[in-house]
Amino acid sequence: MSDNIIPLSDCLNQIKQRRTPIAYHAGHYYTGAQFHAAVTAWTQRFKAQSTQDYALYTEAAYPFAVLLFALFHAGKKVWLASNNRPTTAQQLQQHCQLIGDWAAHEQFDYRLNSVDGLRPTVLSPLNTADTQLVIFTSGSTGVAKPVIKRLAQLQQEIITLEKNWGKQIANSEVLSTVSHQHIYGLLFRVLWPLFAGRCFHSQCYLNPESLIHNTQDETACWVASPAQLKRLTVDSPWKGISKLTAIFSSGGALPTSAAQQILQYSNQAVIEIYGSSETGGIAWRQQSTTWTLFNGISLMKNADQWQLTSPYLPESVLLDDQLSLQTNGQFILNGRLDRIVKIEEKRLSLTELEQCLLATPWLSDAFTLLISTHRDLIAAAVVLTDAGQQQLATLGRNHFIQQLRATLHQRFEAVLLPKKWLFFNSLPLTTQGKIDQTLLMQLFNADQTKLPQLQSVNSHLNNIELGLKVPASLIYFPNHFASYPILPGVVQIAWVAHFGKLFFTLDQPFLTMEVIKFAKLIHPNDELTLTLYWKPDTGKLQFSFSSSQGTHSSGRLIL
Amino acid sequence: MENELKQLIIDTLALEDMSVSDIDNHAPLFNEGLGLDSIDALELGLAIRKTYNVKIEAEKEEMVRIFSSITTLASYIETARTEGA
Repeated sequence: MSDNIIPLSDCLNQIKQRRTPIAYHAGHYYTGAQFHAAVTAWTQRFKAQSTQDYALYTEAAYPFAVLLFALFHAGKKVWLASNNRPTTAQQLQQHCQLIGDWAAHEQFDYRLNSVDGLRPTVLSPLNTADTQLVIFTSGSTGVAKPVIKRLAQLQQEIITLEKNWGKQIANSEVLSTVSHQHIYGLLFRVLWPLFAGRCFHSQCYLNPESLIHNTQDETACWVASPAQLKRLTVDSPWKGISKLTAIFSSGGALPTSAAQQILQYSNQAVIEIYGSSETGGIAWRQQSTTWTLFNGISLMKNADQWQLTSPYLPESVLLDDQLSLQTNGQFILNGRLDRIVKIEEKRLSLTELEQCLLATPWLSDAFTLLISTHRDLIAAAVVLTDAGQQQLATLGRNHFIQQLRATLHQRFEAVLLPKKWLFFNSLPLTTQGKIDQTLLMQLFNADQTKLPQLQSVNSHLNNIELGLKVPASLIYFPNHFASYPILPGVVQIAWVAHFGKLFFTLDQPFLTMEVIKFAKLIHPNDELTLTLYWKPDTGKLQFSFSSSQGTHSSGRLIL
Repeated sequence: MENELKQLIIDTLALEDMSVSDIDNHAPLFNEGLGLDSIDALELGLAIRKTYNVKIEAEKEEMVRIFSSITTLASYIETARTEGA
């Protein structure tokens, strides 16, 4: 109920009186008095420093809460970093002092059990209109943009959440598998529990098993995300899941199949929240394809974009999402307008990723795209510079790719790094001169039980050289000679037809073939060059599969 | 066991540019080593459960240790299987 909410401005002094624990951290429950003491001690330290802006990053949520409130009470501006990658640190260091777990392999001392704050101090109330949190998020132009949140805005959101679900979760402990360094985690697993008097777990659990194991038979709710929820299986800890008072999910849409599975196995109807760092929460849904707006929020069509008016925002905001509004005020989400994608709820600007690739000396052109196979991942189509060619020759493909990934990892989290790579002599274009995304999609999405792994494409007007690796996982190997796997000739012909049609955009089938020769066997894991030469005037496609051992096969297919 | 595990990793995570011989028994699986990410860990955990019937429900520090290399992961699975049997 909303009257359980403590005003944010004075929560520290009120939390101090609370009898129930406020957080569970590193195997211990912490009381409001301990929290108050730690915050007071840190507030005094921060007040003694002249720095005004701090970039806060911690692995665990309880020390985060301590530092956050201490910084607020010391009158500082807090920047919330979405990760602690070296490039993020560098960018933030330009205007902030870094605080928390920034250094790898080094533990920051949070002095959570320090006693020097235990003196009976009263912290003066916060001014919710002035206290600022800056969220640092990736923008569609490739430049990270700061979004300012005032404490008053966050308080509004918490009141709405408590009105909607406070009764349902009652006195549950709050456990989570998402980071508190993003707005969703910050609100749901730190601020909301603090102000509504619920105990939150400091650790971000790595999987549902650990989370359920740590509910310790207390009443609990789970602040989750689709990444975890869509990977639940028949033997997930359903008994524990069914006892939860609620499961929340945000950061991206939960597939209907996942929502249904959860309902079927645990009788839980997941509560999904739609929103963004810029806008805060916008709408929610539960076992439904349509979203319901939170109280006080409205949408209006403004040219091609939807304009959002929200009590959490000082002025209306244009949404980057496309949606269809129904007459009952509910809506369906239809994807984004710009080049921002989400990989496992982590937001990525493809433009920024490409800019980062092009900043290396090895690439002269790059295009990245989202591929949905068994999971969503990023694929990169790149053109090498001379230096890049040399590097590839020296290191080999595998190590060269690892080097590119390591460079990107300075800025991006591991989940966001491209997992598929294709080297081109020039990126394929459509007749309108745009990047041929349909072709790239087909090349990256190829079924690896039937087609080779494509590694490089050297294309000229009517001839093309493809660097291929023959996957051991092809279904043709066990079928042919079980103990002696070789690639059947008919499969080689099928591959020629497949790539010929794709690259020379032929839509008729090949009718005949001539001068076909199979000179050398092809084995699993062989690396081959497939050369295709298309003669439009005669309708003939000449091919050869070759490797360092010489020509494996050659011939012509005729339309 | 180590090579079997490497093949499981390659197949589960579709590491198409890797082969068993590319993976070092002692190199870290995450970050600067094989470069696996948190979702990979999740999927690998599921594959291990399916293949070896071994559940990994450890605390974070323990989890980091288990997944620190092929060798540590293999020995965790071996131990868990013996204890379970």
